[in-house]
Amino acid sequence: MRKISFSEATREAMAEEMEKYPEVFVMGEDLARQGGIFGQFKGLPEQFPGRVMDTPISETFIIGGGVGAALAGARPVVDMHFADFIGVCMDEVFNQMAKARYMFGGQAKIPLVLRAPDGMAGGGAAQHSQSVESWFIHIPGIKVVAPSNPYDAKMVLKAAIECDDPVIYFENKVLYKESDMVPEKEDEVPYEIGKARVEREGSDITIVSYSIGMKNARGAADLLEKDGIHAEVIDLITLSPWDKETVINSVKKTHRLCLVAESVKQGGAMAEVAATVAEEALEYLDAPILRYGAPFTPIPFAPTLEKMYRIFPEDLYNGIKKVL
Amino acid sequence: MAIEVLMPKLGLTMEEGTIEEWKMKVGDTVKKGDILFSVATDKLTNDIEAEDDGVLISILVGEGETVPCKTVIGYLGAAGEQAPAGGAAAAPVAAPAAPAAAPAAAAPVTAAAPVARPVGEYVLATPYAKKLASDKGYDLAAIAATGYNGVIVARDVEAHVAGPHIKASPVAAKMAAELGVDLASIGTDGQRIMKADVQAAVAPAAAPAAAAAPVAAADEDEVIKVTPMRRAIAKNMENSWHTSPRVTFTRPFDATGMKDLRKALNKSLEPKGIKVSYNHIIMKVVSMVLRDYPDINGSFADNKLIHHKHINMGLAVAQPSGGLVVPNVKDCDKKSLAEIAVEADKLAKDGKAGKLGMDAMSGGTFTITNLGNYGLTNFSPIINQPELAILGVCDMVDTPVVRDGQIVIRPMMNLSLTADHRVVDGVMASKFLKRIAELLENPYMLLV
Repeated sequence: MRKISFSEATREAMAEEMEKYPEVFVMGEDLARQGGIFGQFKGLPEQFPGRVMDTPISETFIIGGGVGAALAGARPVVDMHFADFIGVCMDEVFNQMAKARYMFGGQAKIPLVLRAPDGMAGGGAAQHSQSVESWFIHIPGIKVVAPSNPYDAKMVLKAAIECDDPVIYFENKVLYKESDMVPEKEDEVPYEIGKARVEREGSDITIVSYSIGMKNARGAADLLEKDGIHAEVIDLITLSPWDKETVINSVKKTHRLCLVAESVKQGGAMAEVAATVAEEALEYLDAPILRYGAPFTPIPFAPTLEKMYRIFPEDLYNGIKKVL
Repeated sequence: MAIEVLMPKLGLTMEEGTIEEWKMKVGDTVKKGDILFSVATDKLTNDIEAEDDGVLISILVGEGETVPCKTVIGYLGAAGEQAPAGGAAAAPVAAPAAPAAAPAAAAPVTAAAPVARPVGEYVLATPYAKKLASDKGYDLAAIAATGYNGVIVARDVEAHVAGPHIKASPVAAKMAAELGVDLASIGTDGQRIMKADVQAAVAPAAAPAAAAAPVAAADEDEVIKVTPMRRAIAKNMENSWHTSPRVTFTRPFDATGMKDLRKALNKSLEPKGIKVSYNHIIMKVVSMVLRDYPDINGSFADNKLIHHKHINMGLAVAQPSGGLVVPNVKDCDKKSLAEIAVEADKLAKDGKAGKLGMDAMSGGTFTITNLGNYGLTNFSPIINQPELAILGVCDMVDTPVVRDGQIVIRPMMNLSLTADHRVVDGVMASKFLKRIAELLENPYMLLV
């Protein structure tokens, strides 16, 4: 067991997978030259010469090339620099990457990982701060993951690389710098894509989140605990296909549900969770489903406004107290 | 020296009673004759007067608890005097309900009592609360809400289940258990649930409440919680209204003969202090005619007609405080007019004072109600269930009538018979009334 950062954990995952599978390679902007703008690829170019490639500034090529390489038998990991940039290459993502396996009648597979750093990191403004995961959970053929801590970051990335379907790996820019305990390699438990984790057991309300939203979930649970209210905290980890069973089982136990994510609330990933619980477990709800997310407005640049835009644990705490 | 206060025995068949209400609290000074508490049986509720002066120093049996007759339920004594230890001699009948030993038990319980909402109002409840209530067979409308925005949440349903706040008479509770009726679903606006409430709840066909428009009190209106007696009357009348398809037949008779008979009898009975009234004569006549009409002296249920062996003649007695009781004279047809007069007068006196025992109240097979004093010449009484008919006696009015081709003035009187047409057809009712009229017009025929 050691304490390492989220960023270091993803680097370890890459190194271990590249070690294990010669067909794994990485491409994106500023990776070989700079080690990634958040340092998440540092050391890899030296460790695996020729398998960490810098590309021109063309997202269309980065993903299109990745899909081609995957079709040809490689396991590419491609980096988007900022998740906000995926829009440039949307056809490659949702018509090629997501559909190739099906268009070829299952005779091809796309074992590609698209790494997408996202989230507000302070002053990133409207084009470099977004969380766009909900766009992709609407597209069949893509798996979407968003880990919330270093250990998950490592294990989920390894699982994504080993997965024969394309996986979009959302990694939060603020979480990169945060450190936590990660087991030694021999003690690792592999992650199975599609599984959520009950991070904390409780009886009074279920709080569900993922990625950096988990900070709000944990923070609210801590505040509630002081009042003797026991929140169950669930980290979804995978957003598509998401772990319906774990969430619904928890709601059946606590009878209340609070959802939180950093992304815009309207049309967010949590809307899907809320709707599903309403569809399949309505009669177990003893309070309205609470849903916290960003306001429906572009992320402001001014630090004061960005702070207003954010969700804090106190917001959840106050809302939950009202419906208990 | 403390004086025991006992659960009274109000009738031969009364074995236990329930404290409906303590009218005094511990520490109150009580004078002999003050109403100390009220006792409910399945038949009626009686106010009980203190038999001694003193201070109520302890209450051993709380409101809603049931104990056998002659059980010590409290003590009167001097101010500051300690009540004897281990007071309650007999164990309470309702096993788990231990006597409220602490004298301070008079403090009102302020937990969620069942609530009443206007009929048809959408009840806000969470889906889970609704599911719980549905699983337990509870009516959401009766559940008090403590959730956000006044919404019923799961804990409210749970509290409702666990709540000991549903007051019900022992008979009502027993009947509800046997019939599988959830007491919590019987809305009496927090008042004690009586047998009649349960009966009303199990007779959906006889429950117009669902269809009736909600009764809303305007701001200036005064809303009065009615007495258990009024509730019982309301339920019984409602029940009767829905049970018996009734027809009222009104027939006049010439009361000259009856008037003369009464005058003569009272003259001869005066030394004995007995006074015969028209009611007594009509009771006697009707009960004798009933011998020939066993279908009318009966009850009808489940397509079975019961012919009652005894003719027990009920007489509606209005109470000064409002309300109505119907004691009956047992085997009225076999008693002499003097006997009927004595017995009926005592029943009426006790009825007015609210002192009737259950024996006097139960077992009636026919009822007579007289509103003649108020100048009525026609009305349509409601049958006292489970009887099949009721006779309304109207005012005696001097009326010009034709006798032997001449117009003469005669004291005429109307009889209004309401009969249950399930059993009593028009011809039978008319013949029955005709025979009563014949006897009343020619009372000497009673001797035949």
